[in-house]
Amino acid sequence: MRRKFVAALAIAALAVAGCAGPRPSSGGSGSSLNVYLYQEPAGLFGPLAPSSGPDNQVMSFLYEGLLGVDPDYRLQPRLAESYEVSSDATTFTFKLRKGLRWSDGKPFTSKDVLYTYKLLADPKSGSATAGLYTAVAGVADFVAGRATDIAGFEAPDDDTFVIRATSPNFGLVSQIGIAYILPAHVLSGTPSADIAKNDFFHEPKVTIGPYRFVEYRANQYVHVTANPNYRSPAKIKDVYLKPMTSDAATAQLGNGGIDIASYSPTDIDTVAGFDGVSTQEKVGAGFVRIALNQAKDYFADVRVRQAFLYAIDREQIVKTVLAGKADVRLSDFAKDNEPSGLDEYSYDPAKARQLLAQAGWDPNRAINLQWVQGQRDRDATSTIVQNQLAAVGVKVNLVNVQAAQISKSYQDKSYDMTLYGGGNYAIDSSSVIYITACAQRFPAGGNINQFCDPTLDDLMSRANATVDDKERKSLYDQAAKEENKQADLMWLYSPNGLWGVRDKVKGFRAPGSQDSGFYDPASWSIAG
Amino acid sequence: MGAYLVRRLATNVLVFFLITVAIFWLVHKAPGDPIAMRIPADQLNSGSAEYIAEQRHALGLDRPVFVQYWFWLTSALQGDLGYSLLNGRPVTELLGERIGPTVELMLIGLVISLLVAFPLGILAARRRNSVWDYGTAVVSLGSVSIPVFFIGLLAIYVCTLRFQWLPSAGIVDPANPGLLDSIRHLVLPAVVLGIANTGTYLRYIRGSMITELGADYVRTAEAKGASPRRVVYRHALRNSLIPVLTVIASNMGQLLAGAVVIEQVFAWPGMGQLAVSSVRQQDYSVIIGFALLVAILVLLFNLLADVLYTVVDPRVRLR
Repeated sequence: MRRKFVAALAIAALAVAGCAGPRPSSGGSGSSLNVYLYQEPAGLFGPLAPSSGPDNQVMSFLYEGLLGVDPDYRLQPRLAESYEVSSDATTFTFKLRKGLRWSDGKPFTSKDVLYTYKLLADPKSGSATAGLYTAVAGVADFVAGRATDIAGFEAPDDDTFVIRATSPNFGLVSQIGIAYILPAHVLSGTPSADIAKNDFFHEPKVTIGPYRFVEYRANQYVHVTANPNYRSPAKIKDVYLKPMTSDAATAQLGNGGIDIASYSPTDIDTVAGFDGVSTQEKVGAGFVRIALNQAKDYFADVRVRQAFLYAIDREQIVKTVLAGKADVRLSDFAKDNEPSGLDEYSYDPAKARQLLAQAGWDPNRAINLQWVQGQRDRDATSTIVQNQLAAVGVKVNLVNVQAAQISKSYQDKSYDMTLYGGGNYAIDSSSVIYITACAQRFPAGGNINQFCDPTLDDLMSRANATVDDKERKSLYDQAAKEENKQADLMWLYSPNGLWGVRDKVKGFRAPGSQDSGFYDPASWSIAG
Repeated sequence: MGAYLVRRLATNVLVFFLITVAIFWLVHKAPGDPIAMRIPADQLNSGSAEYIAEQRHALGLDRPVFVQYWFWLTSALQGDLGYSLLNGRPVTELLGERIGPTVELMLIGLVISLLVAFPLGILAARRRNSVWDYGTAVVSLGSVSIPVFFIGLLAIYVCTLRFQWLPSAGIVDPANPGLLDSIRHLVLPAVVLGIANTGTYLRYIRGSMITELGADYVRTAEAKGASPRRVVYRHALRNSLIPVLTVIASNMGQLLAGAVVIEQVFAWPGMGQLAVSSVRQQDYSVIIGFALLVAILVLLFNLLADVLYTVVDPRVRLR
């Protein structure tokens, strides 16, 4: 009986193991790369859906926009070979590269660009970024139904695309000039109200980037393969992007199962100990911060906001929680774009107490600090913040919330403090207005802490209307100083992107965070 | 038997309906908005509020819960479990592509745990209160008490990190697929799942064997001169299987729960991963679809356990 049992077991094992594997890939070339995805992708690979980190990582192999962003946060020509800004910063003319083809061989022209931008600006198409396009001339009329086309988007010939803004807006290009372009010949047949449901976004088979889509096996991998029609064909033939937990990824980095992976500061020693793995570190584009709800009168006083900054030893947080792999932030502006001479709000509990006393802070008041649990650094930081605020006489209760609950607290303006992070303020400083402008106070925009400073708004809009680089920088510097003085947000730190790369992979340039896409994967190669 | 089956099925269907109502209501009552959470604070722009309202309306989430339930029920009865709120794919498709790996993991895990539990249980029963018996008691206690994810992480540390014997994530290496590769990926998760469930079966097998070995017919067989081997394997074991089989069948829910945890630890692409991510993202349709599937499975397995009981033990008559 035992023999039969064992035999049956063996057969069952073989049968079942055989079913679950895929059919062997044809060719089986040795040139393949395994990349770690820090989360399961939503599975919507297109520019319409809300931005999702792992989906962005996949899309950076498949799609390109007129411009791209390199790891130093500079705009680089992609589908456009150059662009010009008019002297009044309202008109942006893009010269498209000639002779480009989609992965199915069809030619790429300005028609694709026009089609894509019209779709992205149309709220009815389910575009999550439609709000960014209201700055383009003619969008308001189009959305209201007064026009069937958008006057501010023009394609005068196959190789030219023009964007016209409603008012001087130098930073507009950094907002919408990087949007991924869709193939008009595949999608234009679908009415825009139904476009989001189109299966193309589950399996984008026609692409213009360095790779084309092969398949997405949920919870296993996304498989992309080199696009032969790309203007400089990729050197690595097949790339597999695999979602898994960070523990599993670090283990796989060690044994060669994964070639490129981001990792957290807690794994620094482990990854340093791996043979055949080198590490790269890159400054992040966004930053972790605490929003103080200024709809509540006790946070409307700037002295309270400044006191909270003085009360927290942010240098210590960076040293202990992030092993030094982060920068303390002094404003919303990216470090490279910030002027020198900003108030550092260095750790000074005595000063914090003094300011709180001046502002008349009620020592019996208990306030809530809410955040979405799950990221080690933020979990640790909340506790430290609670302790250090308690040391200056502020009672803080920690509240874990689910990501889905948090937006209600923004709507009701019921929260006290929210710890969160992200954003990208590094490409162009104009993006800072989305979190500081009076007109962007939630729900009208991303200014969830209800901050409003007309002086700052004025400086920001004047800067954004200035074409001359030096003058613009000077205005932004003044804006940064004003914002730093007003302490609109509790800026904590900007974590660096930490990446482990197996030595055989050449040409990889680490991005600053794990949810921005990869830059120029066509230039990567595998040695030996 | 026939009447019994019909009655049981009718009860099961009723329980099943009540489960769907309860889950639907609970899931929709959970605080938070799955659409709003897709746009975190740092991504908000001036059109976000409108986008969220549009999406909620398009997905029917602004209707009263019982209206939503009615639409869901009428579609579900026709085999349409709705679409994922996250990416619009049909729920049946999402479940279908993941059920295979989970069943594979559960089956192999079950086989492994029985392969360990049977010999050890029999050994413990035959040598009661000996070193072997106490040893297996420790094993079963460990298996039941040590959290399965801990065993999993330990296994990854030893087998993948320290000694690089086996892969620790995924079901296949897409660049080098094949039977050996599939087996290598299956080993760690299945063994860990097996170890985690061994304890439960071990205790039942031991207890059941002890009861049988103390029975009159065993003494008769021994008196007739049957070898100990024959007595144990040909007589006692078969009879001791009765309660064990029912434990196995009704433990399926536990096995599935263990598989869910294992799938997270080993990045195994089964239903468990789908369940966890859909709960985290409040993807209502998928959560309900998954809960439905589990409810059906557990109800079916319990029914199977009862039927099996009467098949295996002629003394039992179902009323």
